[in-house]
Amino acid sequence: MTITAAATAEDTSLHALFHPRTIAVAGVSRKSDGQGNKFIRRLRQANYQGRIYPIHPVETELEGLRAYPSLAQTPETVDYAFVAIPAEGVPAMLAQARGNVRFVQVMSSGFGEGGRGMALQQDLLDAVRQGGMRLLGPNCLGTYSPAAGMSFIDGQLFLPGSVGVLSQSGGLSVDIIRNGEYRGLGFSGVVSLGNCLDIGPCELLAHYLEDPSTRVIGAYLEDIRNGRQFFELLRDAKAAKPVVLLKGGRTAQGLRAAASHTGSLAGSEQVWKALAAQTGSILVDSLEDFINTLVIFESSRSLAPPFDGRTILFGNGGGASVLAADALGKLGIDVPPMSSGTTQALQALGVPAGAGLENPLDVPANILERSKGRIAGSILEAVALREQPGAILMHINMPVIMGYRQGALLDELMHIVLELRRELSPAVRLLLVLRSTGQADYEETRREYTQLAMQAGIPTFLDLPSAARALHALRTYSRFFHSRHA
Amino acid sequence: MQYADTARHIFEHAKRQKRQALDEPSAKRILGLYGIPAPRSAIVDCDVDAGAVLKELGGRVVLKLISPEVLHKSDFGGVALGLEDSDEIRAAMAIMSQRCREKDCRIEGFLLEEQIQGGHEIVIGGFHDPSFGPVVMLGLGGIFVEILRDISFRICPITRTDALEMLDELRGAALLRGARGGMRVPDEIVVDALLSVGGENGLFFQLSDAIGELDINPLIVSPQGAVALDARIVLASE
Repeated sequence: MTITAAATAEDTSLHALFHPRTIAVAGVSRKSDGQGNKFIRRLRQANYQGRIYPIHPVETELEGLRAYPSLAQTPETVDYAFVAIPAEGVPAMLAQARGNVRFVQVMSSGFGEGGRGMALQQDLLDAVRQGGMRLLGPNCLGTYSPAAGMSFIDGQLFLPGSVGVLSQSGGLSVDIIRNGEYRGLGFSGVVSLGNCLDIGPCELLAHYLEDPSTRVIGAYLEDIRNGRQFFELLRDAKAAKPVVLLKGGRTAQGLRAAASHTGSLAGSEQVWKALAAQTGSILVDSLEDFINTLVIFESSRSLAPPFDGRTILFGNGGGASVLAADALGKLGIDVPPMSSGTTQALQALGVPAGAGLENPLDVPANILERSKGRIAGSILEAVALREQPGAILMHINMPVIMGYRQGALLDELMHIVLELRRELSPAVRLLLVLRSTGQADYEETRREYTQLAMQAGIPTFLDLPSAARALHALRTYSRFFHSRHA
Repeated sequence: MQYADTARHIFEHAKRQKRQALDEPSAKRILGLYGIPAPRSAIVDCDVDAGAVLKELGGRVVLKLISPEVLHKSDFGGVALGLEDSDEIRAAMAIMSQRCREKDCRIEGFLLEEQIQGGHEIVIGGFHDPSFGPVVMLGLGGIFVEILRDISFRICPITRTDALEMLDELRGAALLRGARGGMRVPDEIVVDALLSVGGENGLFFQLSDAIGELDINPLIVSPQGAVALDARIVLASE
């Protein structure tokens, strides 16, 4: 389907979608069990500062708020209308808005998904045009905007950040928020787009590219109708902000019946790769790498210094370091030998025997323990000064390190890592991997330290291969950026 | 652009003849308009004085069947390589004519081309992606495309940087750059050919409404330049 509502609003800015001063809510019940009730409770819990107007044909008060019979009758213009009533009733409700609503989010489904409800879909489009509003959805979760106190997820709202996400799957947008926030990401916005009958990926992308509170953009896409426009937006932006793309259904489209040889070789997968190569976007294959890539971009304070890929590995666990060096090597990221001058400088530090002072640097826990971790800082400062690496990738085997003095050694090491970040030049990326076994005893500590490190500008990962892939993404981005902005 | 107008005339003509694809001489004429030459050639029929043409083209020649029903000339037996005199040319024409009679294919003539010596075979193609529009492809010829799928794609229009990165992306790029003592082809030769197809002023981007799909296979590249040995241009469906 390519039906699209005419762009009615002269002001095409999506600002109010993220920062509505007034919200109308349809789908609120007296029994307090509707989606609208939940939505209002979440707004209140998140300390939403604007006005809330429940819409109900007969009730006059709901959730302790005065209710209004229609969208046209609220005391002031509605920036954002949340609509979660049965699909059949939606068109009539919107048609009566009389220009009083700027954006409507229709949560309800039944508008053409799976080929059913096509007539209702047309009714919805007609109603949106008649009511004079822009439509988000239908069949979507709407806007997640922590800065405004808007959420479609239960529980404590996290602090806002600088990652803007658009998603063509509601469920995946929940995954992105939950996984992302657990990993220390903060969002300027996450929008679940649903069926994209009006507002689609291009408009959201354009918004995030312009939006000063968004530094990094992520998109989960399934079916893009204005692919050409999406490509041109990305191309013209010249990677001014990193864009991470997760595309579902890249191979399902399959090969086209082709009259030419070239046509038979081309699949959707190759074209998405081409788009990424031409626009400096990062195309990832999984939700995990979507988050990992957003992590390295958001937590890096400055993306400006070129990143050549030369990486110093440091950690406790020689085998893990060797495997990490292999993983980096496969991605074309160099773990170079250090100069003899650097090695001599490290030997002069008096590191006890048992530590490997080549790159990868391997310093076992018992040696770290002897100086209460301080040797780690001394080694890395010396290496950073002499080698000027593109990145230092530090990994900590938590169960081992936490075995020393009831976790005190881990606290000391984390203190040293944070201190190191303050001292290093922005041209040296510092990445942290907090390795664990997934046991509950370590998870809470890992989560807390991840938040702390991320806030300090240290991208933090769950495992070394993830960090390696994120470094690869950073290098791809950096190369593109500097080749196009030379 | 004047050559765009000329190209459009060729497409109009083919459309009036209800063709699905341009014949090879027309396809090569369009490539020529956009800066990709074809071998020197002559269109002949069975009665031609092959000796005179042979003298004109010099050395060995290639004979190719021109028939609107034959889409894959090599598979059909519609290509004869390395012909050296008029007897060989006549014999090859006779065999192709016989095959056409058997398969009920029309013969519109024969293409006699100088046989190009040396150089690397590459493939440049174009097709329309349903989401992103015209896309250009680059691959190394022969097994590299067929079996190893050593190919790269970009959405049109491509820039010079894009074209160079397409070449860099090929695992076989080293061969074009003289690996293992082979002929070294300057990158610009390949890059210019790619831009002639998929660049802002390239034929596929300029004529993307008229061209459905495009194959230049093989395109021979050498330090002297690029020459299209075969070209297939499928018309856009209405």
